[in-house]
Amino acid sequence: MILHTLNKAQSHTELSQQLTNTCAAQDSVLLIEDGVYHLLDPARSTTKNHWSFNAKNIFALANDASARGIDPSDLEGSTENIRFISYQEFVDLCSSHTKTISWY
Amino acid sequence: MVFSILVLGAPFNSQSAYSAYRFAKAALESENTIYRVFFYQDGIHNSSAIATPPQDEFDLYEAWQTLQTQYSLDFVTCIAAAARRGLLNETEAQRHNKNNSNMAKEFDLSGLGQLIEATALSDQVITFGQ
Amino acid sequence: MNQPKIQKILIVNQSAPYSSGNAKESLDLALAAGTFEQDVSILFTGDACYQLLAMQNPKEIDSKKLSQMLKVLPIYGVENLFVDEQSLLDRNIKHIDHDLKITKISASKARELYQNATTVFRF
Repeated sequence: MILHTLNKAQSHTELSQQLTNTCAAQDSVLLIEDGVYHLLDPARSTTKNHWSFNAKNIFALANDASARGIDPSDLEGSTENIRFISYQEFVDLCSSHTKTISWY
Repeated sequence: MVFSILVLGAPFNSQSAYSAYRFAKAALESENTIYRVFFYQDGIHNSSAIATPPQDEFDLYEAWQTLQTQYSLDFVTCIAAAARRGLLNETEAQRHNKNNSNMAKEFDLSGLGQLIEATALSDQVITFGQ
Repeated sequence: MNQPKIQKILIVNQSAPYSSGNAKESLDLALAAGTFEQDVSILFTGDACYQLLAMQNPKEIDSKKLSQMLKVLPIYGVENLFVDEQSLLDRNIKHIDHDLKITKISASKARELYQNATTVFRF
């Protein structure tokens, strides 16, 4: 179970594609910094070949989302498997996965 | 958990160094261990002794220094990456016949072997890149 | 204090040479890992495929020839070099430097590299 962190918005298409190619069904994705903008992306959770389809759980760093004006109520598409978390929970997430891969 | 952290971004140029700092702080406040923070590529700029953010902005340089002192952390800056980017401690400045040094005392200059060692002796290495 | 684990380090290159320091600083890390006798694999993907082109002449821009340094990796014990096939196809790269001992791999094999590594560094 790998934790993937992603810190760029969807305009970084090659990065998103690399994450999609690597992310397995049991992995988690944590959106940090500009990565939280993916939460507004309509492609998320509707596009089959997208990491948001593969990943078991999606997390977003609450501080980064709030700083950027993203509210949970703004989220496009299904929000069942998305959780907003603190830096402390970010640390805990790393601990509960076998390794952490950072995509930047 | 024993973490090591790899910082690849400079303050201000990207948010990565700030994210690394917040992660490190959260890890330490919850009684995890930070074996080493390794500053590489543009991350070496975090070890500047003289970078001066505006007074009304968050001073990440000071924040790192305070964290290092508070928890007696092992901060290592890559010596080669630092030299090519203009960060030198006193020893290196003398060695290269430069007039000044500009590195904060809270950081040690060393080689990439320290990052490899940290990888071997930590449960995980978390990278914050730009 | 942890006991040193058997590390499988994966270094993923995705940057073109010369326009940034990523290719050089990735290589420096690979050499350090080899020197310390770690199990290192290097994966070239995306624009890093351009690092593998033959006939590079970086002296034209006062830069060092990276491919020469890639060739000495086996001397440091770094022999597992891979390149993502699809990245080569996408960039219409038909020939890579034939002096480089590098294996073309599929997307699923690349995924395995990521899964099996204990630590992944990306440049």
